[in-house]
Amino acid sequence: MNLNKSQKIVAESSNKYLCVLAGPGTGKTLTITAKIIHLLKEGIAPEEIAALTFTQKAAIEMRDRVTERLHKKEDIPFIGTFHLLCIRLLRAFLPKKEKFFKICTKSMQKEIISSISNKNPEKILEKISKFKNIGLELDETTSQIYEKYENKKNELNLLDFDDLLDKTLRLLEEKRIPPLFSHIIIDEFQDINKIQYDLIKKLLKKNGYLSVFGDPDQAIYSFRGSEIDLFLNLPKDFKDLTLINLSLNYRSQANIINASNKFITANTKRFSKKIEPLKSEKSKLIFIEVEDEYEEARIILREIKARLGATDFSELYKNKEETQYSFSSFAVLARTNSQLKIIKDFFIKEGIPIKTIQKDSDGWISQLTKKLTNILSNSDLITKLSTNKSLSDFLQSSGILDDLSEIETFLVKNIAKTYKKGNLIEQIQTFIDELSGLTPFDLFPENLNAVSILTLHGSKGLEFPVVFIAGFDEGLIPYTLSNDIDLEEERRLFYVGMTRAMDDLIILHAKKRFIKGKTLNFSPSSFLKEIPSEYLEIKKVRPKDSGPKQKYLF
Amino acid sequence: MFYADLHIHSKFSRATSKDMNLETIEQWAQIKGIKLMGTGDFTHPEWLKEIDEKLQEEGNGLFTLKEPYKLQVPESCKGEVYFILTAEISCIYQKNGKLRKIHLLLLCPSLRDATKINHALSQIGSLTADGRPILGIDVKEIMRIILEISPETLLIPAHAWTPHFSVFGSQSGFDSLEECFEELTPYIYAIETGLSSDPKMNWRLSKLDKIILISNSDAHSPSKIGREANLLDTELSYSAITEAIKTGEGFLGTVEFFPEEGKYHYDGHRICGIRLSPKETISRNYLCPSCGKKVTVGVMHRVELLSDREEGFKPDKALPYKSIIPLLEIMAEINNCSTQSKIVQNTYMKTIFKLGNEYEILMNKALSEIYEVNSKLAEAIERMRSGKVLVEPGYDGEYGKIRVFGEPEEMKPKGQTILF
Repeated sequence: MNLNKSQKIVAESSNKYLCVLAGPGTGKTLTITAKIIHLLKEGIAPEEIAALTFTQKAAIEMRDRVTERLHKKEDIPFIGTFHLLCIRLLRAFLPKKEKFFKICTKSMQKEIISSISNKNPEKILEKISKFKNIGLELDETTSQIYEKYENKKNELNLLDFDDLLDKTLRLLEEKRIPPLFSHIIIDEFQDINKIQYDLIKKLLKKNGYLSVFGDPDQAIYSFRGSEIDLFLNLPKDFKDLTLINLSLNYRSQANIINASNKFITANTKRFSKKIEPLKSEKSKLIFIEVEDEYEEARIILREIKARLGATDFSELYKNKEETQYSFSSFAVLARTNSQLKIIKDFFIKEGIPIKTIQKDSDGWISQLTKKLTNILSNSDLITKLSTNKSLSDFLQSSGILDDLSEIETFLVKNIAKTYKKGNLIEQIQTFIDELSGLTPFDLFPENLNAVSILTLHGSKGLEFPVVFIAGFDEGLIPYTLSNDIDLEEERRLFYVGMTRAMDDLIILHAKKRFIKGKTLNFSPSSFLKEIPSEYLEIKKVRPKDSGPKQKYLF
Repeated sequence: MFYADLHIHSKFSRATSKDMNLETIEQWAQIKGIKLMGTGDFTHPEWLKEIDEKLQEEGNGLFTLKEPYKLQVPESCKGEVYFILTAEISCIYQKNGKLRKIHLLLLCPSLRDATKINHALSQIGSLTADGRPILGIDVKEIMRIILEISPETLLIPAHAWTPHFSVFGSQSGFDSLEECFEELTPYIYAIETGLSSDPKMNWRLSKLDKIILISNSDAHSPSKIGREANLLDTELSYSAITEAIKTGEGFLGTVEFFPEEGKYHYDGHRICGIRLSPKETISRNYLCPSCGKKVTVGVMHRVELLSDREEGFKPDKALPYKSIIPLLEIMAEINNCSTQSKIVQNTYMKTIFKLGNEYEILMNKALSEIYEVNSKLAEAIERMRSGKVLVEPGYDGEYGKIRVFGEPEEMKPKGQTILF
């Protein structure tokens, strides 16, 4: 494997407690994979190793790389999300009566809540989750709903995602699950919450090795209960912690790195880390001020077309430049989903292919798991299934994937292909478990050739040659339209957005926009002055664009 | 025998005339002398709705306009017009490190298949934004998807040589059909030569010997219908027509623009007013003498680069073709005013009334008969039929100019033009 010096040190390190500060684009996944392989080559038994991620996508990618590297699919250590690990542990350690629980997926959760109350299930679930994770107290109505919700789940033998963690931790505390791993590796450590943290400590064998990878500057999930302090307190918690900084950035051109490096130093809750660009500098960051959200959408499209060349005969003479870019080279990021709506509609109207993270994109997964569960509960079929046929072959021949779209089939097959072990029935059960853990983030069709339209939160972990950040308006970035604001987290969020860009970063500010029922005037984000001006170019929209109003009609 | 124009666009496509509705298309097909028209744009849901409403299925994969929708047509031109479901899609994607933009023409056997294809395409891109939808997918992949849904659908690379949006285009195309379509290349039976190339130019590529060369107008307004077309001698049915395009059996040849008149025949820069022959382009290292940037490389140049035969080579199985100048343009030259002018429009209609449809006049009518109506026109058509024309080749989106009268030195080249 081609590793740079610090990546190699990390992969081969025998430090007991290792904390790897891995900024954006520094090859974190590659290094983790190398570390897993190194451990295996050192003779560590696979069942002694656990690598934990926060998304299935990351887990699948790592698993793929490890299996490819080792040329085998069996005897691979556990590489997966916290939830998946908990499912496995609960199925292994719970008494017989309880171990056949089903997973209460997000859509099932919503169904249950809707059957109890007519309140917005999304909001209720958020409150319940916060209560379970960080003990945030429930108001009276929610508390009543919560009680019924728990009863309903018990009745149906369901565990939701929070239950999985909770229950596993309890078993660990009660010593019904012993410490299991001598090597634990954690990806995206800045996203960890208290329960997950305790879980890890309990799972690690005495004298075990813990390596965490992450970047406190990219901690943007406090609303889900992640605690950046857990990261920052690591040196206190583990006295002989070794800190290593992966500093070489392979992703972005120098101006983007230099600007974002400087920008994030305004935060105080962080480790100082180094990031050096490998790519030399290209164009400066571009700041464009526009009249309103419609002009914003129009200018973004204009800039895309200027880089893509014409998409239509009638545009040939406006856009001469031909490039190696394609639709998927572009991402449009904004702070809120409602801002994205306008941009999406405009792009669709103009016939430009787009892709988004859809909240309810997991409907097909529930259906698929339902079908699989039905197969497992049909005794006739079960006998037929008692073979050692591979899961992929079974899925292929059963016709169960026929209704799925190309992208969905691709994803399912990708997950299924790492399964080899055990008889088919067991494989299907584990497969169902894994499917139910897929989130809208995991379902984002990265390979689809279309312009990505995402919230800043949704952009995490992705990279694009050209990134637009829309709505660089004071009030939206940092988001101060709600009461509880954490300025440092807002800064980290913008930092995440900036560091998605490889070549061009274009930031747009609209002087006014229609929000929550009224037109509001905005000034540019206060973050603007935190971006050093030497890396920034202020561009004006040409006068002809601001002349007599002839706006697009929708 | 009948003429077929299989590639046009409806009013739902960008930059098209709002008169591109089924009624007017049917009317103009008769004026031009065309019996089989592509509907164009069946991928557009609203256009497909109109097709469903205004056309009736003939049970053989073809359609006719329902009686109440028929518009008036001069008695001299009246004829049957059949429609065949067609559409064009635009695939924009990366392959082998380069951005590709490929247009593909679709001929579809039934409304049912069209609906199914539309459903699949709507998962990939927006079909409502433009009659020629943009799909961010490899053209080969889309071909596979469509053929799985509708094996009878025929897929044909559109205007195969045009620089910006075609399979052999200099800007975002490929150097061979195989590079583009890989294992699906056998399903490419024909290519559309486009306005800027004619069969003679295509004969220079031995790889195209087995490919049927078809020609269509790609009209965006009714009067442009039939500026190129195909001549077929088959039964009037979807299967017979597509079979002819696949095998050449019953496909008799094409009606062509003089390729020099096409917008991309030569190289150059329209904005700079620079037109270059392929040789000049090479000697100038592909750079524009005015702005210093890379020039748009045209069709003739691409043919030069990809060909393996000398100019003038004629393969054994080469099909005949006829080169025409649109009647309106001939009349504009005779009257020395634009094709849009009243006098030209009036003369055109009068002539049609007296002599019959445009194709009949341009290609078949005895010169003596034309002479009786319009002596100057007879002379012009005689020159056109014998290929005695003066040309100023088109380049980088600028139509070429074509004249039947006058001396070569009368052509006033602008900028750096050099004539051959």
